[in-house]
Amino acid sequence: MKKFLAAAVFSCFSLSLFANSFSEEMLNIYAKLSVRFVLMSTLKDELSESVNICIGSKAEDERAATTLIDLMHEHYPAGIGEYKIYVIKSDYSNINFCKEASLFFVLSIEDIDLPKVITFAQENKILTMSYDQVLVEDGIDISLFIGREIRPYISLANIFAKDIYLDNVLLRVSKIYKKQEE
Amino acid sequence: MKSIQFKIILSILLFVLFIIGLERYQLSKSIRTQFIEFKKSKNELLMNTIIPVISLNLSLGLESANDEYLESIVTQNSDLVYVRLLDNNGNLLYEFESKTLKDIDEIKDFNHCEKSINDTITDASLGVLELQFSNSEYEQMHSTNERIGLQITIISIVLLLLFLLFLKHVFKGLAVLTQSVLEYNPKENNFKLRQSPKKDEVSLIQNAIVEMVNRIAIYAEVLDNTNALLEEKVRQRTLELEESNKELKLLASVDPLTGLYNRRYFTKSSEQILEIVKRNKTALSTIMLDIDNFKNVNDTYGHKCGDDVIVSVATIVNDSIRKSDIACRFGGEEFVVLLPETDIEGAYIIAEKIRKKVEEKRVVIEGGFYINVSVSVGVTEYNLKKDINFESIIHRADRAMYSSKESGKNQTSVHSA
Repeated sequence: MKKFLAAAVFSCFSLSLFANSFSEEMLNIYAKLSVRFVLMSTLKDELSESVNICIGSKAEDERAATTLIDLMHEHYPAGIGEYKIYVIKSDYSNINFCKEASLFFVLSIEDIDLPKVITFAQENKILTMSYDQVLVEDGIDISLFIGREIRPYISLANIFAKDIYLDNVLLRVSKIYKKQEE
Repeated sequence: MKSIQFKIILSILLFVLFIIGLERYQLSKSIRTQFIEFKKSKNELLMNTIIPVISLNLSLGLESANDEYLESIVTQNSDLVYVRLLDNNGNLLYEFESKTLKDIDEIKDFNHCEKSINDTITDASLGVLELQFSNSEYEQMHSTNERIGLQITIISIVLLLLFLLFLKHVFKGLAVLTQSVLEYNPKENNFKLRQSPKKDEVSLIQNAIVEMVNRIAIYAEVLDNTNALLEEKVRQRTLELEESNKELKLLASVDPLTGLYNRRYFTKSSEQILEIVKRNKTALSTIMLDIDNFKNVNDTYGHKCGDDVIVSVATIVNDSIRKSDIACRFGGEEFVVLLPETDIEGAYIIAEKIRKKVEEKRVVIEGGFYINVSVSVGVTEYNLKKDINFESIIHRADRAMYSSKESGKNQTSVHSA
């Protein structure tokens, strides 16, 4: 009950500055979590010296994207482990700039852009993560499930389709998305 | 009781108790060690299962997820009595304390686990997880172990008592056998035990002893019979010996032909009588007689006839004297008669009586013939002052007898002292 109330408070305490409603706490979690997802996947073996992350957002949410980047750098000022962290913002018309990224973070997106992002990520073997957990049902790989507690929300089918595999412990703490027909 | 039986029983008792005690100690120690190792391993396994999840949640910033996760861990592990999760700064993130928990500081033992949580990627310290598992299983195991130990000890003691009773029963036969052997008297043949059909060692010994006793009884009977025969033989031999001794004694003092005393006996008796006469100062006379012409009788009629003549004269002499008088065959055809308490007159009368009877006697010889013989007699009397020993008396009697021979034979001469 206590945790549920905390989650509700976090959700209600939105950033009024942004066009969409973004919880700073949630952004903070995403900032911490997104980098680690890369390092807890088989993508880690393909990294050279940095973890590259692309943040996609609608134009009106660019400020929130910047906040997210700042939070990432705040959490990992010197990188993480032996890896440096590079984070860039991208609009959905120029997502080709994100070809070298390991993770594409969908902060906010129009429905029309979603298939493009998913296809792009599929083609370039990039993990996708969204702020909105509903997008997992639409093809995004990872999000955060907010229920009685906050847990990673993973679509294993999407990730396996890219021939990417996640750490077992990560899977243990995560909520796994299953399609209805499954 | 210092018997071998007691020593054996005591040794077995101590040995068995020692073995049981040692086995129980080793088993108890082994069980306790294995249990502790098992619990440590189990606790470690749980800790190693929990830590990565906690670590990940902390590293991902999902601290709230740890609460849910640890609560599920507590629910799934009923032996968890205390859980505490601290962050890197020592702030309490999660704490669970069972109602059954005592003071946490007092029960930090093998059931207590404490491990620092590190970031799997950066290896940075994220906090500390502390788990305390219940000791109830250990206490239960310990209690069970003690109960089993007690049960085994009681069973061991009962079995030992049964064993002692069994040993006592076994050795009872030996005790009875020993008592029977001690009370056994071969003469009475009172051995109580009989052959036993059992095949145990005591029965084998008993059977051997019974067999031995039977043989002893047989040999004892044979020995008794032999002893009886020997005793009878000894008795007979003794009687025979006594008879022989009597005969020998008689032969030693009596002349075998005439039945009169011989010279050796006469000499010995005369000395004793002389001592009595000296002491009592009584009279004592002696008669000596010799058969006249005896050589002619022997030469004419043979020695057998001579012996018959001697026997006839000896019979006359013996019949003519008193019981207190002593007559002996002094030589071949020479006789001496000792007459205690008789003076020379009395002696002369007896001498004449003998001479006349001999003169009148017809001695029957072989072929129905008979011959007449005569004797020359000498008489003398003991003189207290002159006669030192008996030889002087004999000497005077002999001179008197030769005086009769020289005077024509068949007469009596007196030689006064």
